[in-house]
Amino acid sequence: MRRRELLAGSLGLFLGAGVLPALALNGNSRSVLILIELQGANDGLNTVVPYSNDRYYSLRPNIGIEKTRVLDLNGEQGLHPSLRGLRDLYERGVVKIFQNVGYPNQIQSHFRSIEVWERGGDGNGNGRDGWFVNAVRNSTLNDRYEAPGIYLGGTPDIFHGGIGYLGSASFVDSGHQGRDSMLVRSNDAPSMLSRISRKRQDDLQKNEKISKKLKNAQRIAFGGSNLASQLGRICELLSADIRAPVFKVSIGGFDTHAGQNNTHRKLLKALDDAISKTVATLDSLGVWDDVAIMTYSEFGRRAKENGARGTDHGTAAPHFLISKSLGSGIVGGFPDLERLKNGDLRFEVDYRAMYNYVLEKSFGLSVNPFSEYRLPAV
Amino acid sequence: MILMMTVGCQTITENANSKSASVTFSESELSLDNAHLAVEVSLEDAIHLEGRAGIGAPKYRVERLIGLSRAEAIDLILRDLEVGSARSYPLPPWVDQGSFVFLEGRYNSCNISQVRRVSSLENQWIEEILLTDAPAYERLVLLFSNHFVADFNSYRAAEAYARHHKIIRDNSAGNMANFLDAILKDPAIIIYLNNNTNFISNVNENLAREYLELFTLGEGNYKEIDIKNLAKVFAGESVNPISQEYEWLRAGSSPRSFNVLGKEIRKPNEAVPLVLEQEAHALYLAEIFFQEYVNFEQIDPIAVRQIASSYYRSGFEIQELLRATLETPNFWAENNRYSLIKDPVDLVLGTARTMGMSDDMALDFRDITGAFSRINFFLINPPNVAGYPGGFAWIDGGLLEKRIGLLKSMFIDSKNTINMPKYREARSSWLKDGENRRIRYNNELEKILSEATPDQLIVEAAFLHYTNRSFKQNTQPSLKLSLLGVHLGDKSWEGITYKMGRNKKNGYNFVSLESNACFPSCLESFNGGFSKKQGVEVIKYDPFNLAADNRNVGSTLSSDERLLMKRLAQLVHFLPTSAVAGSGRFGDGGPENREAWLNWLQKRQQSIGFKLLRVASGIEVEPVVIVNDAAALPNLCKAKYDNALDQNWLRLRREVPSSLSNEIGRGWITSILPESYKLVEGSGAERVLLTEAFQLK
Repeated sequence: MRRRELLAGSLGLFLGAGVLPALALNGNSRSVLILIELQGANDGLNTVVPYSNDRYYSLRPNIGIEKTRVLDLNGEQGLHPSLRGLRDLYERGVVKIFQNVGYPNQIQSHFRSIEVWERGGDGNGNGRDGWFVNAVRNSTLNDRYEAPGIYLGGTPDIFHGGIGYLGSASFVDSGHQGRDSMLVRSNDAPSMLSRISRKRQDDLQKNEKISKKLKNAQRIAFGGSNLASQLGRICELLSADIRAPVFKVSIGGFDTHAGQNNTHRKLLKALDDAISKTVATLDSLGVWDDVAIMTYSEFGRRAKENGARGTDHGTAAPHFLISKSLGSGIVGGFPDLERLKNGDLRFEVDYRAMYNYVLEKSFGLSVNPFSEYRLPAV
Repeated sequence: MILMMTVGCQTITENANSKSASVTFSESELSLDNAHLAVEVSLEDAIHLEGRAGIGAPKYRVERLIGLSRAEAIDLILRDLEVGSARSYPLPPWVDQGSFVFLEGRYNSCNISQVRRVSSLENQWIEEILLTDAPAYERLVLLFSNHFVADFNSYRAAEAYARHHKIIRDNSAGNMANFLDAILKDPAIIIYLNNNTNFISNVNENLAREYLELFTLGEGNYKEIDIKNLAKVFAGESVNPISQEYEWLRAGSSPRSFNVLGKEIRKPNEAVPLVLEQEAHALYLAEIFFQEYVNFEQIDPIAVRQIASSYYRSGFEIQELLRATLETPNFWAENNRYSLIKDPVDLVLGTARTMGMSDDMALDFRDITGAFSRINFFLINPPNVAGYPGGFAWIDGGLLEKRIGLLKSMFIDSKNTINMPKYREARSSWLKDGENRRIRYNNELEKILSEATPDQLIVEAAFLHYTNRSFKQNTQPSLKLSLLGVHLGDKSWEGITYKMGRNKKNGYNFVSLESNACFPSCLESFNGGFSKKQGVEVIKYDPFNLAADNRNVGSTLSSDERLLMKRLAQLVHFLPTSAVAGSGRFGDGGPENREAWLNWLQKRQQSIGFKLLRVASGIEVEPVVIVNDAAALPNLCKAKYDNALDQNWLRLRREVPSSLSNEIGRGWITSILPESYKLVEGSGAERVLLTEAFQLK
C-alpha cells in the first residue's frame, strides 16, 4: 500500500467523526464569504507541512520547516510555526484545510492563473465572469444585501461581469460639487439617457445610505498589516450591518523565489494575526455565525527548493476555509512527493470543488456552475 | 486563397451544396431597401456618424459630411480605412532586439525595462488616436485589439506585444482571411493562450478554444471534439525565445490530419478557410459590429443577417463589414441616437479631439494613461481573453461618477483643453549622438569581422546565465551561456544560448544545444534524430571527443555545424573571466562548489586546447574572440540600444494640426448635444461635458 492510500484511510476516520449536518438555510439568510487572496502564489508545502515524509526534507534541505517547529495537526501534517492562531482555531473545530488544490493544465503565469481562479476556468479554457458573479446570476440572493460584492484589496477582477459591486473608494464621499444640478430631467429624455440618469441617482442614494450607516457604526481598526486593516474595515462594515455575500481582501508578496523563509514567516504571521483578530471580533459582534473565510492564490510553488533558498512557480497548494459551522479537518489527502510531474505536485482537488462546497454550505446554492466538481469522498 | 473570392449568388449556391460549408445567405438578403441612404446628412446625422465611426466628433470632420447623402458620407468615412492602413506606423527600434533582453537574462546590463519599452509603444498609439486624420481606421484598430486579445502583463515581452499591435494595425481594415492567418502566428497570442506549451504529446486546448469561441464563430457553433482536434492541429505552433518571433516546432507537432468541423485538416492555416466557410462566422462578426456601432443591447437579427451577408459576399473584407453596418436603417434610426455608452478612449481621447488640443502646456502621456486607470481601463492590458465587456459595464461599480469627475478635472479645470507639450527640439541633437554611437560601433565591428578568418568565431558579448549550485551532488552539472551577436564565416546569429557540463554517469563532457536556442537557426541538419523534450529537439555531445558520444550524434552534422559546436565548446577558455556574469556566478553554492567548478573548467580547458589558427599571411589568430568584455559592455549597450529614447517619449512628437486646435474646439463642443439634452445649470463647455448625455454617443 502506498503512503497516500494509507493516509486517505486514516483521514476518512478522522473526518467521519467530525461531519456536521448541512446548514439549514432560509430565504433571508445573509451569509458572508470573505476571500483572502494570497498574491504571488503561496508556498503550500511550507504552509501545511508534510513533516512526516522524509522526502519533504530531501527536496528542501535548506528551507524545509524543522519537524520540531511544525504545529502538528494530525500526526502527519502540521502548520508553519507562524500559524499559531490558525492551529488554535483548527483545534476549536472551525478550520477546514483543502489539500492539493489546483486545476488541469496548470498555467504558471501569475496574471493568467489568478484569472483562472477568479473566473472559474482552467488551463484548457477561460471563465468569462467572476466565479461568484456567475454562480448567483440566476438567483435573487444579491437582493438581500447592500451590495453584491465589496473589494478592499487587490483588483476587483473577481467581480468581473457583475453589476453594482463596491470598492474601497465607494465609502469615501467624493465631494463632487453640485451633482444634483447636472441631472437631466428624465421624462423627456431618450431611453438610454434616462436609464443612466436613474442609475446615477440610485448610486448616489445607495452610497448615501451606506455612508449614513457607517457614520453611526462602531469604529473598528486593526493595527499591523495592510491585510489586517482591510479585514478590520470588513468588521466595521459588518458591525454596521452593511453586508455583501462576498468581500475580497488581498495580501501580496508570496512570490518567494529567493530567501523564502524570512519573507514567508512574516507573511504567514500577518495572515495568522489578521484572521485571528477577525474571528475574535466577529464573534464579539455576534455575527461570526454568518461568516466564512477562505484563502486562494494563483498556484503553489515547486516542490524542490531552488538554488536561492526560494521556490519557483508550481502547481497545487493547500487552502483554508474558516467557518464556525463547517468543522475542521484536512480534505484532499497528503501531498504526494513521490509522484511529482516535472518537479511539481499533481493536484488532487479541483479548486472549483471548494467553490461548489461553499456555495452549497454557506449560500444554499446546491445547483451552481461548479456542481460537477466534488470534494474527494472520505 | 479562400473559396469565396469570386462573389455572386452562383458561388454561394455551390457552397451551400458542398459538404462542409453551411452557408445559407439567400438572394433576398442581398437586396436591401436603401432608400434611407439617399437622405441628406444633417448636423445631427453628421455628429452621429462621425462620433460612432470615428473617435470624438471634431468640427472639421463633422462639417465635411453635412449636405452629402448618407451613402456619400459613409463613403467619405470609409476613405479613412485606406488612409490609415496605408500610413507607415514605424515600430520602435527595440522590436528586433528581443534577443538582447532574453540573452542577458536577469543581469540587465543595459538597464532595459520592458515596461518602459511597452509604454513608449502605448504612448505612440495614444498619439496616433489623438491626432489621426483617419479615426474610423483607429476605431477598427481598437475594436480588433479588444477582439484578438493579448495583454502585455501576462508575458511582459514588449517585442512580442509590439508585433501583436502591428498585426492588428496591418489587418484591421483588410481581409479577415489574412487577419486570421497572421493571428495564428502572432507571438503574443501564442504565449497568451498557452500554445507555446501545446505539444502533440501533451495538448493544450486554450488557443483552439478561443479561436473558435472568441475569434471566429462564437459559442455554440462548434463541438468540444472540434476544439480537441483543432488543438492537435495547432500543436507545435510556438515562439522563438530569442527573437520573440513565431516558430514552428516540428517535434511538438503531428504529421496526421484531424477532423475539425467536419473536415480533415493538417496545417494550422487550414483552420482559416474552414471557419470562414461557416455561416456562423459572418453572423458572429456582424453581431460584434452591430453592438459596437449601432446598439449594444438590442440586437436586430434581421439587420445582423444583412450585414453578415454583405461581409460574406465581399469575401470577408472588413471594410464591407463596416460599410454594411453603417448602411443599416438601424444605424440611422432615431432611437439609436445617443444610445451607446462611450468607451474610455472615446471619453478621454474623443473629448480631446472634439474639444481640441493645444501643445504648449504640461500634460504628458502619463496623465492620459493615469486617467484611464482611474476608470479601470488599460489600453494594453485588457481584463481577460474576452476583452472589455463594453456597454453598461463601462459605467458600473461607481465608474459613472468617476467618469464625470474625470471630464471635469481634465477638460474644465484645466482651461477647457488637453495641453500636450510638444516633443522638444533639443532632443534631436541628443538623438543624433545616439545614432553616431551606433554607427561607430558598427564600423568597429565591421572591421573586426572583415579581418576575421572563416573558421574564427566572433562573439560580441557572452553572458553566464547560471551554474549548477552543486557540482558535487548533481549527476549532470551544467552551466548555461548566452552569446549575443555571433559570427562564424559568412554566418551571423542574433544570439545563441547553450549549456556545457559533464555527464558523470557516462563519464563525458558535453555541449548541449536546443533547436530553438539560436536565431536564426544554427543547425540545419537537425532532423528529429535527437532526443526530444517538450517539442524542442536537443543535441548533446562532446565535439572534441566523438568516441565518447555513444549515440554518435555529432557525425550527423555538417562540417560547418561541427565547427560551430567545437567553437562553442572552446568558450570554456573564457570562463570564468571574460564572460559577463549574468544571474550565474561560479561563487553560487559556496566556495566548495566554486572550487569544484573551477577544477572542472581547468581540466576541460586542458583537454580541449586553444590552438591558434594560422592565417595565410603567416599571422596567428585565436579561434574564438569575445569583442566586448564586462568593462566594454556599456559601449555595446549604448550602441545596440539607447534606453533613454523610450524614457523621454512622454510628449507629443507631432504638431497638433490646426483643425484639431482648441481655438476651434472650445466653441464647437457647446453645440455637440441637442438642446433638449442639456443640463439645467452651468455654462459653456461645463453645460455639455458634465451631463449624463455626454457619456453617450
